[in-house]
Amino acid sequence: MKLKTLIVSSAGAIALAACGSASDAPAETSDAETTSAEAELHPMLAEVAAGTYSLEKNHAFMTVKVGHNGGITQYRISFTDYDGNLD
Amino acid sequence: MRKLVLAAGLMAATLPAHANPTLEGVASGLYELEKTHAFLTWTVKHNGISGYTVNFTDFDADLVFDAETPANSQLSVSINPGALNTNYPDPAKKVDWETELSTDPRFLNGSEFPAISFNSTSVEQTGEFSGTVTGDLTFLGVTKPVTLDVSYGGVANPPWFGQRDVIGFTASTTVTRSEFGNTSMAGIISDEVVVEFSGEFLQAEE
Repeated sequence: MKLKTLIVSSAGAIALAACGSASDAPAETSDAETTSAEAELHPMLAEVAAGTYSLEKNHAFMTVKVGHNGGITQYRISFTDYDGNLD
Repeated sequence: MRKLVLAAGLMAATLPAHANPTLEGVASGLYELEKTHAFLTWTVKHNGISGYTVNFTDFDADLVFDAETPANSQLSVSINPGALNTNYPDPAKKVDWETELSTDPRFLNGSEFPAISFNSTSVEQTGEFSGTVTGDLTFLGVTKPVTLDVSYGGVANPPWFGQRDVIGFTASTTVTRSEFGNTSMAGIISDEVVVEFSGEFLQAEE
């Protein structure tokens, strides 16, 4: 599996998990009701355009941290080549 | 693969038998930064919406560690503002951007102020393995007191360092850059700069 695929898959998994946490919401609502409800819940999101967003690579950071030497400190590695899309 | 398994086995055998972190049996005295396992970053909020993180790649630190009374320890740090890694994605522009960030008066202004330093003045132990280290930070030619929140991670004795102890720490603080005279791009770059350290110190050879 290529790194890019892995990262995108991981991001997808996280996104799906996040979606899953909202699964208690009513299953059937109209688009207008949903938009209105979301605007009430998240006023900062009300004016944000929906659609596809591409990663702005100049301002994106992804690191892994692992415990080193029995966990006495963290060893950090930054990925320098990755991409992502958000719908 | 066999070599790797042997190395892993050796490492496992040399890891401390007691649970980390512990100060038990840790040597007091001078420790030097183990630069191959040390990370120092600064992060500003960009456009008010996300963190922009930059790695310092040339810094050093000495720690006079008192394992019996950690509050008696002393720390000195020196940082070269001219050595940064931004992970800028375009290789053709990466060097130029990092040079600009290092030297431009809007940013670290390393041409005029080629060193950043921190020298501790007091240490307070706030928990079994945590504390604060207050000291004088000199940045952009201005010296002001700054307090680091520090966690002690424990001790290790990898075989390639002989009998010398290796101790680990994480530390962080938030610096207000305007207090050091830097107010550039205020609407785009936050005034608060989060500085984070994670790394190991190696007991100095006698």
